[in-house]
Amino acid sequence: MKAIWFRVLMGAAVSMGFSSAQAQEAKPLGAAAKVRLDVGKGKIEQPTELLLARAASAGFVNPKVEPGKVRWHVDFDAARAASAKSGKPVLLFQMMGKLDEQFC
Amino acid sequence: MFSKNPVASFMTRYFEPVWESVRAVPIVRIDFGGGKVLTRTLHGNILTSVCTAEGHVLDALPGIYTETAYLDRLNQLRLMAQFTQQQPQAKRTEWLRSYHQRQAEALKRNQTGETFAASKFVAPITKAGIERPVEVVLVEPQPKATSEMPKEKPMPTNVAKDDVANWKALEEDTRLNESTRRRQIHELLADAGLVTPDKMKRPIYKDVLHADLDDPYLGLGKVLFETYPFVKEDAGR
Repeated sequence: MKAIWFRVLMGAAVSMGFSSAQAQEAKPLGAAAKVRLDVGKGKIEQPTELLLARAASAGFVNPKVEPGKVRWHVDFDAARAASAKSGKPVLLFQMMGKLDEQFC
Repeated sequence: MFSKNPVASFMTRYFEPVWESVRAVPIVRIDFGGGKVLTRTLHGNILTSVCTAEGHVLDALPGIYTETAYLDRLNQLRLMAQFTQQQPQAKRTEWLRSYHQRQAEALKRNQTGETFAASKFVAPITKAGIERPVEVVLVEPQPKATSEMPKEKPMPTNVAKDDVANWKALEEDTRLNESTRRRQIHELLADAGLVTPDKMKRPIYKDVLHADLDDPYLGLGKVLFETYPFVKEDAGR
């Protein structure tokens, strides 16, 4: 068991070392010399649009909830088909966000 | 509202309900540190439309309502749907346009428009009467000076200050929805005639609910970016 574990560990270490070596080999000589050091404040501080985009994908999960006690159809076409059979009109509830999410 | 039995059971009994998201709702999260995070939605708004099986909008309620007013209006809309079905098919569009025109004019004069009522006709052929199916009739507006809202259930007395403020805000929203916003919707429908919800969605959200769905920042762009000090620098990049 110990021998197998040691081989797995060595295999991982070798593959990591190999990947780093590859990465280092890919970088052309003199690439470091092209990096600008005198950048403006605007470049360092992220523009608002980028901040907003990143915040949106920052891992916030809107918790799922039951969309009330109403028996909702899956989509407008399904509601229309049911309406044609039952004679009841369609009630279409439109909103921003999703009714089955906590923050809507 | 949809978690409350009276509303949920009314909707399921008299309609074929479906919900649809028109776009993502803006969410604001403020991390105050120390584990305190405030999460709120911004600028959300709703539209309740009643449509035929063919997918045409008969009428729509803009925004959020108190429970009593919502149920009252939904009842009117389901009776209206039934009344429309009673009209000859060839005359339905014309009737609908004319109805919305009259309702818009009544609201302009700050008066109650026409309402719908269910009536049962009992034909006494024998000692026991025979009931015909319910018919819906159009009731002419009563000569009142102001449009009347259905009486709300009184707010419970043992409520927190915040709930009182929310209740009052909801009542005020309902009043606005039933006056200015409903008039605008009647005008749009009087002009459009029989139209699908897709065609009405953008004009109603933009002009009635003041939430332009085509604006990625929903009208908040000026507030967010106008005072940003590096606008020119970013633009030049």
